[in-house]
Amino acid sequence: MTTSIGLIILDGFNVVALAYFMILNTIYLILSIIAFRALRTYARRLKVLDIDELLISAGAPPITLISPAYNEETTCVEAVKSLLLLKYSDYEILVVNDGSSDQTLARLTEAFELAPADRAPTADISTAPVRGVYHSQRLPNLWVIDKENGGKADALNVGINYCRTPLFCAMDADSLLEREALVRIVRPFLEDARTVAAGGIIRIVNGCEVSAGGVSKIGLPKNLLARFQVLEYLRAFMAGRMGWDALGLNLIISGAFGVFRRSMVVDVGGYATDTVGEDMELVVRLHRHCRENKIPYRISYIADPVAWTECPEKARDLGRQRDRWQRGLYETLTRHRRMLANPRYGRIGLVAFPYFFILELFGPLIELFGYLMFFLTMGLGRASAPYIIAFIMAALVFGVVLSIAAVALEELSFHRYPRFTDLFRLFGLAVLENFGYRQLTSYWRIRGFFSGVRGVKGWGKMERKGFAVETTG
Amino acid sequence: MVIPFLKELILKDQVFLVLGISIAISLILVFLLALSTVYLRLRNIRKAKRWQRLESEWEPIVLDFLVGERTPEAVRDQIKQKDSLYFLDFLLRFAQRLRGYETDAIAQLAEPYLPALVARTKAGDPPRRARAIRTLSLLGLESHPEAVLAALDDPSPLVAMIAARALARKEHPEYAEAILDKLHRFENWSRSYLASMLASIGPEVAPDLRKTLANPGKLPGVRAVAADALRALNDLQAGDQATRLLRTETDRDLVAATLRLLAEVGRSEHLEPVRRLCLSPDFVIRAQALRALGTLGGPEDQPLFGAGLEDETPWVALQAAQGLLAVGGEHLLLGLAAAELPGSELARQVLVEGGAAR
Repeated sequence: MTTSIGLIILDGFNVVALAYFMILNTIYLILSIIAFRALRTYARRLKVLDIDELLISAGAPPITLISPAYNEETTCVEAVKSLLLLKYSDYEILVVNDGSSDQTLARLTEAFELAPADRAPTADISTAPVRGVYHSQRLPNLWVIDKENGGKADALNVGINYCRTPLFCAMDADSLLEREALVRIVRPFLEDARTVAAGGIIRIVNGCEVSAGGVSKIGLPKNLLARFQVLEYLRAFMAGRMGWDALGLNLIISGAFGVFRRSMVVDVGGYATDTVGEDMELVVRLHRHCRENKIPYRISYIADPVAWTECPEKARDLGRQRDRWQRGLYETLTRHRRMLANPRYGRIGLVAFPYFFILELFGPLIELFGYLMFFLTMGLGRASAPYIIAFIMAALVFGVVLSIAAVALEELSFHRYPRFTDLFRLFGLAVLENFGYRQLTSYWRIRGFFSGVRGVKGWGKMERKGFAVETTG
Repeated sequence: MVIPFLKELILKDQVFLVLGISIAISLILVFLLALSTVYLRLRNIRKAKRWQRLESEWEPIVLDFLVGERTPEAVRDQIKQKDSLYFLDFLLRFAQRLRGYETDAIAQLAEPYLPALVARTKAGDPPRRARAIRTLSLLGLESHPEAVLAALDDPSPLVAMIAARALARKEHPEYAEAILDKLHRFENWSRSYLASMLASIGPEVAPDLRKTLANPGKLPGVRAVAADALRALNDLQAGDQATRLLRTETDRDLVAATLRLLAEVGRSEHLEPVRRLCLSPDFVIRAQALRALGTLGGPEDQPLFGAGLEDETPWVALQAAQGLLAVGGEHLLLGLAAAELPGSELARQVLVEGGAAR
């Protein structure tokens, strides 16, 4: 009796897992098709709107770049220098030293001749105490705010409190913005004054050559884990975010690079400091605030402003990162669970939330159990040939289709990887990632899910190599 | 051995048939996607090479034409019919690097190819129409202004905006009225962007802008853009009108834009409504009014600035501090800066920024 109940559960779970793979991959496929259309239109639109004209336009709104820095003594000076080279008519840089225990402040003071200055805040979002405000004696648009440690979100809130421009750009201290990134990302704000936030694409800098504060030669990294992530980012940004954006269902703007309307972010109380997913949480809160108060708004993703970021090359670091991302997802979705399937929040509540809840939050659990049950079913000799074929198709072949579609989208739009060998390597990775890498990321995400349930806090550390010269042969 | 077995299995069993077809479709899809990606890459390379070749052929002959060593006909003889649109594209990029006489000469060279482009302004999808308008506006606005003007009514806001930008030129103030008439179509666009576009036409546009600002039949957003453009043009004649408007209008954006305008072009006789609005319940209007008062007012307004310094909104307090400094209240700010009160940091900041700190 017990055995037969167990077998029924096993069979039942196999059906659930199979259905999960089919539904998830079908949604991705639909998103890829939508993204294909959107990218094609966007790429043609880009040829019409002159970037240089925007650059010199007096109508381009001033922007404050907020760069939170915590123990960045080795990279902070170079990072600020690269920000000073951005092509934009009117911008200010606010580096927020988040209570670094190393020489970050001293390095910045020495390199940019910082001196104590008075600067009154323009908002009063609650933050850890500010210890001092410094202004560069050489560069009028460079400010450093020294504060007690409070985490990235807290540092960003301090930046918002001191921001004097209508827009601010939130970024990671180690993000490398392309020279034209600000001109490109500001476009949604010019074309639609209802825009409250816009995100750009994040690309992986590992394997690229960096010189004079910019990426000078693009290539795939040598490290296999990093290569998998290149493909993963292409899938997430070229297909996923582009597709969601075309449907007006974007819930995420990466913390590494996003521009926000300051007044709106102040109205919602700034970044939440009690979550590790503060970037997603802010975007969801903006959706919620605007919909609850019937404020016309738009949150955009655009694919051509690029921020380059270093990805983890060690399994341990990658595991921590994915754990944190999933924890952030858990915290955001549970905090705003009121929006789930709630018609008051329109398509965000009825489509985006259910998708993220069921397929992104619980997905990894179903996925990993699906693999386990598949092998158990095989072991028990209960796997029929159609089931085996269906599982392989749903879990593997469909995945390969989607990854290659993402590479095709990249080629259709921006084709940043110039070498033919890189293209074929990406094809190879699309197949290879299904054997180990995907399962491993599912495992880390499950770990993150349970960390979220247990209320674990903290970011964990990632070992960084810095933007060194490194190319594939 | 295996294939006949699978064939038999697939044909015999419905489930296998469905699965077999699905897998075959997926694999074909993988193959096609990979193939099309490679094809796209090859096509991009081929296109780039072709473009490079054509450019290297055309550049010397166009340069010869510009220095008078070739006639326009001699240049056009070198251009194959199938390359004519590419040639226009080339001329467009070439013209963007030039000024004055040379731009006119390039436009003359492009003239015979423009009718085909005019046709493209009415057909195809919005990016295609927009591109045609952009090219036409740079190479053939003189000969085909009607096509660009008609694009202001294009159903796509993108095409209409490209046309508006193309028409907003110093050398053609006569199109300003047409742009202003259609400004309501761009209500979602950033106002500062629109104002900057209008101001780029130059002072000749000011009478039309004043008319728009004064017209209560226009949308408040459109009138606010006109006010911001007049401010950018530093139009001194707009002061009286702005004052009249402040006495009657209540729309926040319009009032704020008008106050910004008065801050630039106003005189002491315009102070009355500005002073009144310093006490507005709306912080945006209070801040803009204090800013205007800072440029128009005098020492007698110090109590208003003093009240503004205690305002709960930092933006109002900032404008009040800057205004106080501007009307000679430096000693008051120095006193506040020396103390340790809530507004002291702001006072010190404004004193340093205003160059008045000791």
